Amino acid sequence: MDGQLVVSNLTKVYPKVRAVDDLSFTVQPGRVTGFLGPNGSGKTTTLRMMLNLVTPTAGTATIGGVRYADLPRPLDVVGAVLEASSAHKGRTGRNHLRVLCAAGGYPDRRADEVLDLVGLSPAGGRKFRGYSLGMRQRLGIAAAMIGDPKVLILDEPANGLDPEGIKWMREFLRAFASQGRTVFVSSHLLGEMQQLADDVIIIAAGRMVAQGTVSDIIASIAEPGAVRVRTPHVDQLAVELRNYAVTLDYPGENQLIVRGVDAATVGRAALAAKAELHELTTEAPDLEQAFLKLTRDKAAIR
Amino acid sequence: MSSSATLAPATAGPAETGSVPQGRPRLVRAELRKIFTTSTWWLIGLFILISTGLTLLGNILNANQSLRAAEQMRSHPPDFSNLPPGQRPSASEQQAILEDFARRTDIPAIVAEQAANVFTSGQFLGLMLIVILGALVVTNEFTHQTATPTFLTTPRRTRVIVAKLVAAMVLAAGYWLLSTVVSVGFGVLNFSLAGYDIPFASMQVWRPVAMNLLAYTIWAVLGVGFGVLLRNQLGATITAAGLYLIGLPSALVVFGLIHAYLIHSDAVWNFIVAVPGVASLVMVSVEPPTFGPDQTGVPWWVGALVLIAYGVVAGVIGTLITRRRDIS
Repeated sequence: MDGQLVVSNLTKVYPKVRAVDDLSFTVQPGRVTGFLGPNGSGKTTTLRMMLNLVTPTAGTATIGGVRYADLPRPLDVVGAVLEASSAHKGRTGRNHLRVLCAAGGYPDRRADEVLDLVGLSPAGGRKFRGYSLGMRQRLGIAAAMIGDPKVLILDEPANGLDPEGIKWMREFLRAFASQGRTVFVSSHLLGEMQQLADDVIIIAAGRMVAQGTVSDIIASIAEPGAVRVRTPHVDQLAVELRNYAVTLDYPGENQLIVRGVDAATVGRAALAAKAELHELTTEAPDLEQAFLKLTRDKAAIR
Repeated sequence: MSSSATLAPATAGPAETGSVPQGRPRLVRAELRKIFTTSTWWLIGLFILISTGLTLLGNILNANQSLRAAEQMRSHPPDFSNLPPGQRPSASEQQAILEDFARRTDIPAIVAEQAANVFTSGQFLGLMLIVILGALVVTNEFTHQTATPTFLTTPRRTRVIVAKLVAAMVLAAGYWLLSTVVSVGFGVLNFSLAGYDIPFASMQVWRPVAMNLLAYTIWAVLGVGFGVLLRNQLGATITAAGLYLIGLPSALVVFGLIHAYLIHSDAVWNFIVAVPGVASLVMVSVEPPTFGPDQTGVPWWVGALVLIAYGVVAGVIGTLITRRRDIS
């Protein structure tokens, strides 16, 4: 069985809100797929419906063609990390995992193996109450890895993590996907996904907004970048650039911001104008701004 | 915790699972493990020991008092010979008085009744702790958000709730054993020191002890039902314990009002067995307890049937709600 996730016309209607509205998408193995949307856009509800925790009003979700509820040994197929604190405060991390091993039919030593896998072995005998947020997220990953699954599903795993924790998480998920397995990870931060994901699915107000590879999505929603130039011959360059459809800004002495053409064109113009260049850089498009623009109208408080 | 040591997921999968129990027993094992890996099990055990000890002390004192009173009475049998002939009761009246005297001074029967009472000392407060335990088995999952990993591991929720019911009953049986060993141990010691033989061959003594086991297991089921209905931990435990404690007094008031204003028949009092706390009391009593004047009382097995019915209803409702509920 492969680890393809297929969501078809998934809908969840609560008495006062359509949390998820006719959502359809697929998630491919061997890639990291980001699930993006503002807070309250229905990401968590969608993930929970895929995992049989929340009953859909309509539609289906399958993992390798099978509904989660019908998987004979679900932990062998899917590992999920949905909350950072899904453990009893008075139970040790190792015992938390052993409870899950017992319930899932895995030997107890599997608990030690997954503790080791996430680097939590030294803290395995400590009670969950004393775990930092980073340790809690690692314990969640350890629990998800008990069955050595084909698919990992994570809900906002970077929330509250320090930079080192985020780096660890990113490397862990990339390594997992590079083994041909599926990673589906939700986030409300596009910037974070840009570093992690191959594909993204963007929703707002429970509906699909955009889906595709990260570069395609960025290309489609981002404004073309501005080109920043530093040169002692601002005037000569500006005259030459009038031959192109550009807008110019003068942020300071010996500086020029060019919009409408790429850096190569600016360089060619500088050569033609015999202007000496001290800097020529393309400013990255503001992803967060673009993402907000894309979801703004649909993401009102519901 | 260094990040460099933990980059890649293991390529090796979990090993063969042949030696690991499969199916439902493993879920019961997981539920028991949940209890034994936190402080709940020994806290409940400690409270059961304390409450059993206190009730036991009272029941032993009460038993010794009853036996002393009976012995005293026995040394002064009714004597009609020194009454003037005109004031003597008739022969049939004398017969009745003598029979009553014999019953009230039947030391072996009193020993049996008091022994049953002493041996079930763990019931009153014990059942309250057991209903709390049952509620904790469920509410812990919501308080600590472990319902998510639990139902991810076992999406078939009926199995989870059945495992919880079985685990709660197994634990309840364990606590019953603890409480019974203490009660029977000290009880036997007390009666033998006082020179009484306990009729161990009599079902009169063992039936209440066995029924107390039934009461423990069913109150565990009722607790699980409470936990499912009220996911809030504090709410569920306080409600369950409170309803257990005020069950009998408030039932007495309600049935008293019914008897006084609605149905004047004394048979009304027999329906008080419908209150779970009363049903448990009826189950473990040698003589049917009575609450109103001239009430005949209902036999122990009616109490048992009533409690089993409550247990079945609580289990079924708990299962149905758990199956439908969104875990979010």
